[in-house]
Amino acid sequence: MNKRMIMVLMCAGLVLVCLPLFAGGQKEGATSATAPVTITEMDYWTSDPGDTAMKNYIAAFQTAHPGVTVQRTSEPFVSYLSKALTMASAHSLPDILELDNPQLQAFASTGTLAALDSFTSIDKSKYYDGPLSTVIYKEHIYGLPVGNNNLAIYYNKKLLQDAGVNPPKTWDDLLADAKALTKGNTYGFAFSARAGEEASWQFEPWLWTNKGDLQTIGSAESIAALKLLVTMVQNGWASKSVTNWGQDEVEQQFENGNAAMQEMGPWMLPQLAKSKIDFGIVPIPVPQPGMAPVPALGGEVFTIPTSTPDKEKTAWTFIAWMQQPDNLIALNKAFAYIPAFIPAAQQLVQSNPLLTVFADQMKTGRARTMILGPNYPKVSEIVSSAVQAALVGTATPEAACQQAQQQIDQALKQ
Amino acid sequence: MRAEAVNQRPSMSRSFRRRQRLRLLFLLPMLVEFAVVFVYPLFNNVRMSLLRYDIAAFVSGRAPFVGFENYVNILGNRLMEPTVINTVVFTVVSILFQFVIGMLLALLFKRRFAGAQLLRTLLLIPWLLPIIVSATTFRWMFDYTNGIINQFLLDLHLITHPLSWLITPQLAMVSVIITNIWIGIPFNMVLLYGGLVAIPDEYYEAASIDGASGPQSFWYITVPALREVMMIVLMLGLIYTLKVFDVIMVLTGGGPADSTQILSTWTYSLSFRSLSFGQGAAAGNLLIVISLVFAVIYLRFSWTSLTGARSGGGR
Amino acid sequence: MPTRQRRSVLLTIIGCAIVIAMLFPLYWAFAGSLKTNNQIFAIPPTFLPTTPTFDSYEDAFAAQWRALVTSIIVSAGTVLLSLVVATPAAYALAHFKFHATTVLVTCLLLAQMIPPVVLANSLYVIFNRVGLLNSYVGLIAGDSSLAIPFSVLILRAYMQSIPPELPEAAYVDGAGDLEGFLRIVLPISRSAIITAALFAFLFAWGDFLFALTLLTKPGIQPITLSLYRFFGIFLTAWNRAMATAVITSIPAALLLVLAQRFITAGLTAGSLKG
Repeated sequence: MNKRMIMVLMCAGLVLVCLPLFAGGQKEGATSATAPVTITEMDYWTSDPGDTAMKNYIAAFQTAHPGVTVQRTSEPFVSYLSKALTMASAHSLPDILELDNPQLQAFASTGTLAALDSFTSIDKSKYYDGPLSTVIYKEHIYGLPVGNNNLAIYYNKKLLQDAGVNPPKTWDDLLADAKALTKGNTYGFAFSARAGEEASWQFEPWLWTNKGDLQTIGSAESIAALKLLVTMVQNGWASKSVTNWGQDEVEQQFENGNAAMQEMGPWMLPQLAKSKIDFGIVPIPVPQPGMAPVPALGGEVFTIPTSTPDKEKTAWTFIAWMQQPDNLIALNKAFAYIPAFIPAAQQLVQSNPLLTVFADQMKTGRARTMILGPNYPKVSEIVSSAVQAALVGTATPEAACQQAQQQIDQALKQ
Repeated sequence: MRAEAVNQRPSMSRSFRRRQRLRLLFLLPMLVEFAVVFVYPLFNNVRMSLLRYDIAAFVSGRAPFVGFENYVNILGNRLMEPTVINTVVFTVVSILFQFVIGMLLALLFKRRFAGAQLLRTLLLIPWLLPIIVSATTFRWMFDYTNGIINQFLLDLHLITHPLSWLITPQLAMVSVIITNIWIGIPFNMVLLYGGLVAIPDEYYEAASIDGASGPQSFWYITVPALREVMMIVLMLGLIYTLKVFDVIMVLTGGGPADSTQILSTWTYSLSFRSLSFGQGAAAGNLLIVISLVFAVIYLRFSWTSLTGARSGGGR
Repeated sequence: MPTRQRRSVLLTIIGCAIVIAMLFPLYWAFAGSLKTNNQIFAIPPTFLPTTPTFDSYEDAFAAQWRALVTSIIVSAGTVLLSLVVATPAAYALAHFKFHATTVLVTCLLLAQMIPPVVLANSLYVIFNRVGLLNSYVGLIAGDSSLAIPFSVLILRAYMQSIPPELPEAAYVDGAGDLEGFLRIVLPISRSAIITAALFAFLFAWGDFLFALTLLTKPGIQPITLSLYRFFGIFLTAWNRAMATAVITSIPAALLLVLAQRFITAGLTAGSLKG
C-alpha cells in the first residue's frame, strides 16, 4: 500500500461519494412562473390495496384540478407515528397528513393540526357518530375520515355444519360453539392478542358490549369480558398462540381451516375471497339477547398540519374532494372499509352485501378516543398488558384488571 | 553524541510540540464527528428527562421543568424491576453464549482443513439478512402450532407436547435469547478470529517444543495475546446487546405481558406507545448509566493492559 | 500422515455440521420465499416447499434492483468515510500519549450507548436545517456516525498489539508520524482494517433506522426500507419479503467472499514477526 494507491483510492472514494450529488439528487417540485401548486402528502399505505388506491385517487384528483400536483410519500406503519412526531418537532410535516384515527386526538393536542371549521361545515347528521367523534377535538374539526372498519365474527360454514352448530349470537353461544368446533388441529375460535394496540383493539368489542370500559377496567363488567376470552384459551378452544398472533396470522389460521371462527374486520374480505373458504359473518356476540354490539372503530383520517393559508386551502381541496361520494366509494371499495358518510355507506353495502354486518355495527361502534382523548395510548398500553397477563395465566383476570386499574388511575393523574 | 543532544534540545522541544499538534490532526475528524453527532442528542436526552415531556412538548420543544420527577416515576413503576432483571438476564446469557460459541468457532476455523475458508465465509451470511427477516423467520420457527422447531422436537420424540416458546413468559425469554445469540455469533467469531490469526505461529511452535499441551497453549499464549481484542469484543457486545430492540419487537413485541421487555424496548414503548417522552428519556438515560458502569470497568482493565504487562510470551 | 488427513476430514465434517445448523434459519427464510402465504402457516409445517413457486422473485427483482444499487452506494460510502476518519484516530489513541486518551475512549463508548432512536431524531433536526435530508451524503454521514466510534475501538484494539518500535523506525529516516502511519502501520493493520470495513459495510447495509428517519421522500431508498413496503398494516406478503431478503443478500455475500480473500492475503504480507 503505497502513497499512489492511497491517492487513487481517495480520489475514487471522493468521486463515488460526489457522483450521486450530480446525478438525480432531490429537486423540489418544479414551480414555474404561473402558479401551479405542489402539495405534499404522507400516509402509511406502503403496500396494496391501499397503495394503488391512493395512487389512483391522486391521479384522478390531479386531473380534476389542473395546476395542482400532489407529491405522495408512504412510510411504513410500524414507525409512522414516530416519524410524524419527529417531523412535527422539526416543523417539516407534509401539507396533508394521514393518521390512524386514535392518533388524531393526541396530534391535535399539540397544536400542529389546522382546525378545519373555517373551511366548511359538514352536515354532521349525514355521518356516523363514531367516526365523527374521532376527528373532533375540543369542539373543532381537525380532519376528515376516509373510511372506517370494525370487528365481527367470521365463521367457516362447512366446519359449523359438520359440528352441527349455528353461528353464535350470545356469549354462551360463542363458548358452546367454540367448544364444539375444536377438534384435531382446528381451534374453535381465533383472535389476536399481540402486545401493543392489537390486544386492546380486539378486546374492546367484548369490553364495551358488556358495558365495561378502559378507564374502569377494574369493574365487574370489564373483568367478565376478559374472562370470556380467558375461558376460551384456558379450555383450549382458542390457541395459546393468540398472545403472539397479529391479525394477519389470525387470518392465516382461518384460511387454513385451523380456526373455525375468527374475530376480524372487513379489510380481509378481498383476501378471503381468494381462498376456498365458504364463510359467513355475524356481529359481535352479546352477553344477553337484546343488547347491542359495541366494537371499536378502526380506519384512517386525513388531517392538515398548519402551514401557509394557500397550502392549507389546497390541502383542504384534496381531503374535501375525497368526501365526494364517488371518490369515497372508490377508496373504501379498494380498502374494503365502510365510509363514514352514511349515504355512501349505504350505496357501498348495496353493491357488496358482505359488508352489511360491518355497516350495521357502525351505528353502535365507538371511537377509541371518545372518552380518553389524548390519553388513550397510555391507557391502551396498560390494558393490553393486563389482557396478555390474564391470557397467559400469570395473573387471574381479576388480579390483572385490578392492577391495571391502579396503574391507569396513576397514569391519568400524571 | 551528548554534545549533539544538548545542541539539539531546543529545536527538539519545538519540533516535539509541533509533532504533538500534528498528532492531534489524526484525531480531528473524529472529534468533529463527536461534536456534531453525539453531544447534542446526549444533552437533549438528559434535558428531556428533566422535563414533563408529553406529546405537545415533543412537538413544540417547550415543557415545564420537573426535576427528577420522571426518574422517580420510572423507578417506582411496577415494570421497572422486572424490566431490569430481564435486561440483565438477556444480556448476560446472550453475551456468554455468543462469546463462547464465537471463540470456539474462531478456534476451529483457525486450523487448516479443507473448506475452512468457505465455511467461515458462509457463517457470515446470517449477518446479511435484515434483522426483521431473521427475527420473523425465528418467529415462524418458534410458533406453537406452525413452528418447525416444535415439529423437529416432536419427530425426534424429545418432547411429547409442543413447547409454548413465545407464549409462556419464561420460554418467551428463552426464545428471544436464542435468536439474539444466533444473530450475535458472527460478530464475535469475526473479531476473535481476526485476533487469533494475528498471533504468530512461532509462539505456538515454541510452546509445543517446550511440551505444552493444547489447553495449556490456549490459556498461556492465546488468551493473553487476545486480551485487548477479547475485552473490546465483550465491551462492544455488551453495549450493542443492551441496545437490541428489533429482535424483541418482532418476536414478541415485548410481551407476553411485558415478560420480554428490556430497557431498550421499554424506552420505546414509553415514548412511542404511551407517548410519555419524559419517562422514555429517563429510562433511556438509565440504560446509558448501566452501560457506563461497565465501560468504567472495561477502562480499568484496559488501562492496566496499556501501562502494565504487554500481551504475552516471548517478546 | 493418515492421522493428519483423517483429522482434516473430521474437522471438515464438524465444520459442515455446524454451518448447516447455523444456516438453517436462512434455509427456512428461503423456503418461505417459495411458499404461498397459506403454506407458510400450514399445520404441520412442511420442511420442503410442496409446490415451490418463484412468483415472489419476479416481483422482488423488478421492484428492488434500484434499491439494491442505493444500498451498495450508501454502504460503500460509509466504509470509505468511516475508515478515513477512524483509522488515524485509532492509531493515535493506540500509540500517541495524549492526556485525554481515557476520556476520549470513554466518549467513544458513551457515544454508542445512546439509544439509536435518540441519535436518529436529533440528526434529523440537524440535517433538516442544513439541507442534508434525502441525500446520499446525508445518509452516508448518518450511517457513519455509529460506524466511526465502533471502528475506532476495534482498530485501536488491534493496533495496540503493534510494537511501537515499528512505526518509529520511520522516524529514523527523518519522516514524521504521517509517513510512519501510512507506510508502516496501515500495511500491517490490513486485516484489522478489512475487518473494520466489513463491520461498517454491514452496519450501513442493514441500517433501517437512519434511512427511515433521514429519507422523507420517495427517490432514495435502500433495501431495508423497500423491504418494509411488504409489511402492510393488515396483511404482509411474507413470501415477497423473504424473496427480497434472499435476492438482496446475494451481492453482499459476494462482497463478503472477496473481502475474505483480502484478509488472508493481508495475513501473509503483514503479519507481525517478532
